Amino acid sequence: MIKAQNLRKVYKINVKQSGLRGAFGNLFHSEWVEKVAVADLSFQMKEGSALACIGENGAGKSTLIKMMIGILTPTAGQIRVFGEEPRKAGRDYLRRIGVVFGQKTNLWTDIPVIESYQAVKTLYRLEEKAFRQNYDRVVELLTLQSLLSVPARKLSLGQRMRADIGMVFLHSPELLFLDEPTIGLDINVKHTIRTFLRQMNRETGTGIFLTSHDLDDIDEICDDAVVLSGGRLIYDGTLEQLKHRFVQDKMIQVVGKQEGDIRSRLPLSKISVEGRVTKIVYPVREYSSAEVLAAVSACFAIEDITIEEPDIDEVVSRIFAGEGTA
Amino acid sequence: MRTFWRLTAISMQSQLYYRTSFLLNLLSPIVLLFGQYLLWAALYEQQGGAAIGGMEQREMFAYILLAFAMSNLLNWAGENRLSREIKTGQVAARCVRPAAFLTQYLAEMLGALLIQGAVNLLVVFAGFVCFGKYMTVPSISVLPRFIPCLILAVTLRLMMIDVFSLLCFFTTGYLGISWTRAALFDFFSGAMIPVALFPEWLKAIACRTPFPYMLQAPVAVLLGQDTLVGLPAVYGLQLVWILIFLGLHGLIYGLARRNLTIAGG
Repeated sequence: MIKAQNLRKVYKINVKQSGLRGAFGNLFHSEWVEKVAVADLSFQMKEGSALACIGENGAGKSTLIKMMIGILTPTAGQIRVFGEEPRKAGRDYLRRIGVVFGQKTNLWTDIPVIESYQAVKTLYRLEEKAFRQNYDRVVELLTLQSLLSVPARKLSLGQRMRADIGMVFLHSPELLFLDEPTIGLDINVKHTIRTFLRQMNRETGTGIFLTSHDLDDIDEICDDAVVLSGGRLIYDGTLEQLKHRFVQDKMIQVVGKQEGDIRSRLPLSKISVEGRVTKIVYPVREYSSAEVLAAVSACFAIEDITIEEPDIDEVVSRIFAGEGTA
Repeated sequence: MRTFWRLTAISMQSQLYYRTSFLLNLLSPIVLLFGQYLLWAALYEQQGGAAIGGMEQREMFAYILLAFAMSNLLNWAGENRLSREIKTGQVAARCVRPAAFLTQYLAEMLGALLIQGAVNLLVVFAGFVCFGKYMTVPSISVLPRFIPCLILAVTLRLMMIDVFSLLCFFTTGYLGISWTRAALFDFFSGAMIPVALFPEWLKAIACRTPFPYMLQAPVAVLLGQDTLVGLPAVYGLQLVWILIFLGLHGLIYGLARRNLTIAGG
């Protein structure tokens, strides 16, 4: 579906001199420096999958999306979506994809939302039946009914984003590019949008390429991830592998009476006890989960046991702190 | 064409949606028209009613009414819409719609100017009905010459605004570009002072720019005045300038897409 090879984008940035003297100097002399936004990036995305693009601010995520949409031209390298170069693919390509920018709207702001939806029908040359089917679905799943008669300008951020997400599904895109779609939204709206996107990905096979700073978005919507840092690719694989690669400790919480000495069986782990609850934090490089479970079974009369999965927030903070990126 | 007309309709709806803003946009330029009338009335009074630069008072009053209607076809907000979108990065939404960039732009601008044009037509009509005895009233017989000239003039102006707006891709401040464009248009098109009143050397310069063919030429055709270069040449020059701006649009848009930095990446 998406194939990038040695993709590179370099911007020229005008560097201004500081101070009043510098400000006058800038009128007569410009200094330009090159900034590498995306550096020799290669990755692939499978058809119908949901891929997260993770990176700190300025990592090159938005630039990458804009090259895949065809708005920006790569400085070097190649990008192919559906086997075509997006920049040259034209309107037929745009009819096959959908794009949502979290900080911008695709709705026409001064007319009611429903009029924007009708415009999509014309722009994408949709048959009435197909349009109506998608329309009914997004209106129901995103609870848009009460927003349809309101101009986008008068909607709250959360309402506007729901309307934007709904609009992008009206033409049944095969691939969706989402650039920070939940930025600034409250928890309920985020949940509605995540659930909807996951459902559409699973039921209709719409591919999703998502950039987000909200790691819960990534966890709930995506299966695979690429991680960018300073425009470079530092990880390409499943989200699950990413978690395991960067997670150093796991935790098991056991409820029940302790009958053996767990500390002697797992000497490198940290153990804390609060009443009948024992928390065991163990280093994954020293013990496998099977070893830990065997030790717990031998030492406890288990009433309940919880194995905590690594938190994606922790993973990402470790990545950007430069831990374990070898 | 369905896409074009749908976008035109959306633009017209957008114009009409906010009633107060719509009325203010429509009516506030009439204050400027009244100011122009007072200025020229005072000048003619000083001259004892004699012609100025070969233009009789009756001709001048008709000229300023028609020039107002032509110049005011687009308001400041409408003219700067694309520039603002480029500056804020909102232009990205336009770029991902499956319709040509220029088609979207022309459709939206047409929607805006159709509404304003209808109101201006009413103002002009009312002006001639109420004050016709003080003005040269255009003859209906000139309409076959005027209408093609008007369509070409409006198209030319839209293309000129488009090209100036695209320049905003290369600068962080769009107001400088907008003011430059507005100043050039207002001065050289004859919107402020009829080009016929310019000294010969300035008139010669004006005729080598596209601006008089956006306003002076159609107004002159309507009033039966000298079109500076002859009517067939006016049509020809309007077409040539449209083609030049089309070429510039392709060139600048292509350059912008290669070197573009949209806010936020």
